Amino acid sequence: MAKYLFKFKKLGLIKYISHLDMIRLFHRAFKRMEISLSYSQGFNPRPKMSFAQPLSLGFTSLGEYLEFETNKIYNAKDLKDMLNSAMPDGIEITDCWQLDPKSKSIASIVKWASYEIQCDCEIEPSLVEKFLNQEKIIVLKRQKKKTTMKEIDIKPMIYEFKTLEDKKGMYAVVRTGSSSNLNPELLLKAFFEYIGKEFRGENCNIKRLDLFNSEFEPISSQILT
Amino acid sequence: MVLTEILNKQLPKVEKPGRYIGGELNSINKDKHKVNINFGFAFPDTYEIGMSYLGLQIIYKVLNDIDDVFCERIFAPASDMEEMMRKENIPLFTLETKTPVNELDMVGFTLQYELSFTNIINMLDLAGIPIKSKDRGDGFPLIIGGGPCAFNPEPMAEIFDFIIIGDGEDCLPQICDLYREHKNKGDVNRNDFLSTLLNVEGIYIPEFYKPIYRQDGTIQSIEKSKESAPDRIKKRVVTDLSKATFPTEPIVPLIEIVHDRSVMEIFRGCTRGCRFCQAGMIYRPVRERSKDCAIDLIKKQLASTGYDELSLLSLSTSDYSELKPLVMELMELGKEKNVALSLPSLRLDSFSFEVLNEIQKYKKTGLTFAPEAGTQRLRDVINKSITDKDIYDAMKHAISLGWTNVKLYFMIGLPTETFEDLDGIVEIARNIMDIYYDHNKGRKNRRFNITVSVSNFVPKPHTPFQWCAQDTADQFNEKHSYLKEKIKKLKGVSLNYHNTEPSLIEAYLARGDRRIVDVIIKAWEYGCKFDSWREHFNFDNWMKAFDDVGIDPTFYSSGKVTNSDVLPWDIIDTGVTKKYLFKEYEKALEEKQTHDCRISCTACGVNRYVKCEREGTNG
Repeated sequence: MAKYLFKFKKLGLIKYISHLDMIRLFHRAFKRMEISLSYSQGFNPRPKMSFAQPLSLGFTSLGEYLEFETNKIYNAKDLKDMLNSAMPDGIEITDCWQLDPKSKSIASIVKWASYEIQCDCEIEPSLVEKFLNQEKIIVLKRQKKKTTMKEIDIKPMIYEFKTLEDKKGMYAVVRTGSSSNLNPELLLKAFFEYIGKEFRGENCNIKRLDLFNSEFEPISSQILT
Repeated sequence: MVLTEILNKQLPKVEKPGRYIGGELNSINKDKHKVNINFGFAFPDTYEIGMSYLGLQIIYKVLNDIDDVFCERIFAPASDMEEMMRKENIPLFTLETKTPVNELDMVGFTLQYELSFTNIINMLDLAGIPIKSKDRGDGFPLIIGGGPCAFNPEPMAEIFDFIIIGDGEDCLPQICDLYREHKNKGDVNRNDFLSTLLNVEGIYIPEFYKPIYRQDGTIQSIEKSKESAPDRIKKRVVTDLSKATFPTEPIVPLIEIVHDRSVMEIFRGCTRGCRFCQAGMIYRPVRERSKDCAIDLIKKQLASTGYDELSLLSLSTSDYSELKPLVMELMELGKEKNVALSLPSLRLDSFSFEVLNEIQKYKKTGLTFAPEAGTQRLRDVINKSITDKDIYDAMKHAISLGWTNVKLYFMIGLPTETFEDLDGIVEIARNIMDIYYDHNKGRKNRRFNITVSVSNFVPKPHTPFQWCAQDTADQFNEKHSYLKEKIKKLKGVSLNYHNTEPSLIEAYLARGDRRIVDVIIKAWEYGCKFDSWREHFNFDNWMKAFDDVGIDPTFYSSGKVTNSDVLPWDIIDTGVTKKYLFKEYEKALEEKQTHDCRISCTACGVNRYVKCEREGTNG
């Protein structure tokens, strides 16, 4: 039994496949390479394979993470090369590390995510400052498993929000993970509303850059043996 | 590039954008400017349906195996995507390179079911290609038809430049060879190329023929406008399936599709001779893939895809001569590689149960059984050789092994059908329920479900029932209500039936002549598309279209269209003689069965052209 972590990119039109599609894709890739994953016990055994944090449909990413357990021990580089040969256009595994089998799940340590958002208009940095200086930043968020909307203050969930160098977009570091999560689209919507502009999703390209732990360290920098 | 960028922006607005992106594992990319022939394989339905079709994967490989041919895929966009495309001026494009379809050399549409015809019209329109071949000059791609519905090519004849009849594996490379030669000569004249195609067997070029109609609408004769055109078009037959091209590296879809699994075609054709079944007639003779070849290909497919499910494909799995050893080996393989095996169209004999019990050990998914008709008399008429005893023995077996879901398939509106035959359907369901009650005596709290699924008979060309009338809407509706009333009273039995109207349209289109094309185009103008989708089907628009064109649709369903020596689809020679079909039709009316031709040859005529390897093998 061994535990590994992949870091991979998701770029191009493949951003339009969902989280469930990604699970199926990796499952098949392992199968194709005859890498024997460990399975959960029970009536409906599932391969022990999980993503650190689901990526919204339509976002590209340079920093996705997949954690998995195998029955055999493999060389990390071999795993990376094998899987890369079974990937469709747009997915590329950039790193593979072996983890301590007893380590906490990656999903549980992810707390922050950084994003680069390209917009089709220039954004005035002073407006961003004003936006962030509000006492509270209230948005409407759909409640889990309900259709009702709830007002929440997203200000504590924003660590960084600033214009890109060319001002045609934003860089954001926001809370992510199972306990508290801010979708950058929600943040953008709130911002555009604040500056009195209409937010149109199709005019923004959102790219996740990386995931971090509570100390803002990259996921790959710790818990590795 | 530009199109890719537009898609990148616009795709978030549509449902399931993953349908339109391409780039799947094992999909093929070539430099479209460096190849001689850019071919588009078009499936006139959505991605999820088209990608579940094995023929697409076969043709994709056949064509892309040729160095200077690049075959790309084209699917029908869903309505929301179409709306966006029309608004943003995005033409219909190929999945691989997002090339506008009208820039290709050839576009081949597969005709899988009649209710996809309007989608073809819509796709041509979205591509900016004139719909009828006569309106297209040299600057447009050649538009080709093929597939099972091409066996009556007439309804869509005026759309296509040429139509491939029968198996495409050998025919398409031949066409490409001729096209390359033609193109290299610097000749871009479409008519010259069509004339060259006369040297290829199995190709129907509609513009070389002209049907002459009688006053009553039937066909008097078919005149040729080109002397060298063949009188009849013989279908193409791949004789050795083990040597034929088969996808070893099928494209693995990124999104979930209808049948998301590895597929192995174990044979083509069927020897049973059910009289309603078009596939059983037009795909003759039976050609098996050897077991070793099948296993070898399966291993390659699993290794190249990572699928965890495998399905066998044929018209009647149990008739495969090496079924036992094949299934045994596959079960071993499945265990070793953790791949689930799925065996559709299995006859429920004891071996099948042994296998099904093994592969569905933990999750019994339900059994399907197709008696097709409710009484022995009617089963004799349609030549379905199942007896009541077969049905009940199988059910006893199934119940004792613990199956709790049974699905029964029937057809209604079959020739000579009476209400007694409908009672027979109810009777079968009731008797199976009784078998369950007997078996389960004393035990309560268990559920046993029977689903009776009823489809409406459509008399298809090239079958013994081609001379039969279809039931009218009133007759179908009456039969539906009759069954509904009776089955309502049976606890644990539910009834599914197909809507009447789509079955009527299916019959008009299946049995149509050349005049029908204007109805199809009119119906499309009224907004008809995705007619096989319940939520899109619009009967009133179809009726308006018939009305506008001035054609009485019942001419085609009532049997009048076949009141002549010349039938619209007679131009196609399936190998099965008309004499044989008529003899079978007469035997049907006499309620006499014809035996399986594995027992001995029944003289259908196909062995005049090809050897029947299974003929008389069970004699």
